[in-house]
Order: sequence, then structure tokens, then C-alpha cells
Amino acid sequence: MHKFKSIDLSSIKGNKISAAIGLLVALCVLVSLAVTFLGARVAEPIYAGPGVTRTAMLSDYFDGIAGTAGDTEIYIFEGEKPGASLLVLGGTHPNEPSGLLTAVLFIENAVVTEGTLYVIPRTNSSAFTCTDPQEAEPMQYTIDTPGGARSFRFGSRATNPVNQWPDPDIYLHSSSGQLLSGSETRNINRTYPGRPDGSFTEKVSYAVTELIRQENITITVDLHEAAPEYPTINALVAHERAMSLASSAVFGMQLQGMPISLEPSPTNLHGLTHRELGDYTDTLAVLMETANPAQGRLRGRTDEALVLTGQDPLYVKAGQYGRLYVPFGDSGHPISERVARHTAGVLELLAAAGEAGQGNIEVSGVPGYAEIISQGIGAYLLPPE
Amino acid sequence: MLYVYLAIVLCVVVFIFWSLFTEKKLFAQIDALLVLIPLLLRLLLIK
Repeated sequence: MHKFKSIDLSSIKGNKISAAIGLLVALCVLVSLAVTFLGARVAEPIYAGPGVTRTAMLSDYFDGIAGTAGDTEIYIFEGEKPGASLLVLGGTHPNEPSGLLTAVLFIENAVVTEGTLYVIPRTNSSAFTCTDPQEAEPMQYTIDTPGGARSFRFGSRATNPVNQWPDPDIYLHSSSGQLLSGSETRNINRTYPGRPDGSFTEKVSYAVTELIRQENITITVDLHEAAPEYPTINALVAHERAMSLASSAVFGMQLQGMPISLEPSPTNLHGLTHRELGDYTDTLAVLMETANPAQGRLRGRTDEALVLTGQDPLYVKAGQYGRLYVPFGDSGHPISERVARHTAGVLELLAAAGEAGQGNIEVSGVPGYAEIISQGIGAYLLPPE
Repeated sequence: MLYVYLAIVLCVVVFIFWSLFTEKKLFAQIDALLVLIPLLLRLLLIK
């Protein structure tokens, strides 16, 4: 009978030759990874639809971000008749895809006849160039259109560390004195109203604030998603000056069959759009949330399917145990539903603006809630060129 | 502050290179290479 000798792997000898071979292999791996990570810095195309009258860059409003990864495109729709204005902020958190996709839907479909619509699809463009560490998120997802598939990057909640590093131990929000965890310094939705001489992310949020001031934007809506176990979900959060407008929009969404709540912007949580843009500018600041299991703590495998279908059996179980703030069945919360809710919310805000005496913004060409649910988002995105 | 941290990373990378070529155990060399990859990605501000 043969006896097998056990081998102590840790005792296998190495030398300069093994070091050199290993280094060569490591450099090949490095190059391969570098190609992937640098590829994430290439923005996917967004095609300006028939209603876009001009585009601008955020640096046009604050040149401190010109030539940096923080500069980003603004799509502007100017109606023939003057009226009120509305700014849609998509991509504040690039790991919340319905914000970006709703903005893209407006860019590629909306036509404005009265007033002005501004759309920023990638508010934190740096955050689109990476994913959050240790979350095992996909780097992109694909939406099928009648003319072919379109890929969109799935990014991070925060600015890419290569653009802003190191994080402080504690983040001091300068205008309020609020203290947060140091990594929140890269979360643009904790840095408003921003500072011209602040960090990379604070400069970007300052540029957004300057856009609102310089263009005297009437209404600002920031599009987000939240984990199903998070209490502020399927909600509109409004600054106190925007409460009347937001309540009309909520009422309109509920009449269309969308459960949605209205939350007041807390006065003791600083740095967010609905608080700071309302305090530091004249805009009526609103933020909207939809349910996204891909960013929750109870999720299973985090892949493109989860991002797009919003279906997760672990969340179904959590729902059965009463641990969630939204109903969660086997059908989940697909991306079409989330985009449809955001689109309907923006359209209701536009309608409410006129009724509230804020001035009119007449927008057409954008599909409604029922259309997006039945046809899917892809039906309303332009085909890839 | 960025350049201070990059200098620290550079020092660590140099030490890892030195350790890689002076280490006598293969698995310790592999450990060094595994650590080296993310440090180089950060030094080059790729990731």
C-alpha cells in the first residue's frame, strides 16, 4: 500500500526567478484590471431628443470643476413661451439606476413648449467611474431597445476615491457644523450647498447650487432609490417651502394608483438637496425615492438581473416577516416600475407648478406611468447609434 | 494630503518589492504580489 507524503506548502522555496515570474504575472493582471477600471471612465452615450434646445456643462456655472471628472452635461429644453423652470437631478447616487434612467428618458423624449427644463443625468459623474468596495455590484447593466441593446454604468454611491483621497476620519459639513463619518465627504448628497474652495465633491455640489442661483430655477427634483428596509422609501421629501407643491404631486400620483408618502425635510440633517438647496437658494427643493433591492442589506446575489428585475426571494421572505417598508412580492420592483414612478412624479410636479402659481412648464412627449409599466423603459429610449 | 498618502503608498510598494526579491518562501512571495496589485492601482490613481 502506498503511503502519501504530506507536503508542507508553506515550506516551498522561492528565489529571485520565482519573484520575477510572479511579478510578470502580476503586471499582466494589473494591465487587465487597469483596462477594465479605466473603461469605466468612458461615459455611455445619451442621445439628445427632439426637445433639447441646447446643452451646457456644469463648469459653465462654476469653472472650478472645469477639466475635472466632476464636470458633467446639462441638457436644456427651452420652451417658446417663457415660464417657470424645473431641474431634474439624475445620477446623484449612481448605484440608484432609476435616477439616471429617468433623466435619460426625459432627455430623449421631452418637448417643452412653455418654461424651461434642465436635466443633469449624471450629477456625480465621478461616482459613475467606480463601484462601492465589497458590495460585489455589477459594473453595468443593459436595457434592450427596439433598435438594439444599450449599456449603462452601475456606479458608486460616492465620488471615486481616485478623485478625492484620503477621506478624513470625520466629515465636518462647513455651513452647518454637522459631523458625519469621514467617507460621507464623498457623498454629494451630504455636501450641499457646497463650497468653491472645498473638496472635489463640495465643488461639484457648489456648481449645482450656482446653476440653480444663476438660472433662478423654480423647482429642483433629485431622483433617488432606497433599500426596501429603509423607512424613507416610495416617498417625496420636500423642503418646507415646497410642501404645497409636493403635496399636490403626491395626491396626483396616488390618484394614478401609486402608493407614495410625503415626508418633510428634516431640519437637523444637513447637506442634502431637499434641505440645503431650499435653504440657500429660492428653488422649491424636492427629493424622490423608489425601492431598489440591489442596494439593500438583505439581498442575495447582486447581479444585473437583480438591478433590472428587482426580484429577490430573500426580500420576499423579509417582507413576510414584516421587516420592510414597501410591499415585496415575487414580482419585486423592476426597473421599469421605478422609472415609471419617478417619471410620473416629475410630471405631477410640472403640473402642480402651474396650479400653485409658480408659473407654467408645459412638457409633452414623455410617457406616463402606465405606458412605461406596460412597454418597458427600452421602448422609450433611442436606439444605439 | 493626497501627495502625502501617495508617498506613503510608494514607500510601501518599494518595501514590498524588496521583500519580494529577498523572501525565501514561495507563498510569501505570492502574498507580496497579491498585496502589490491594489497598491499599484492606487499609486497610479487607476482604482
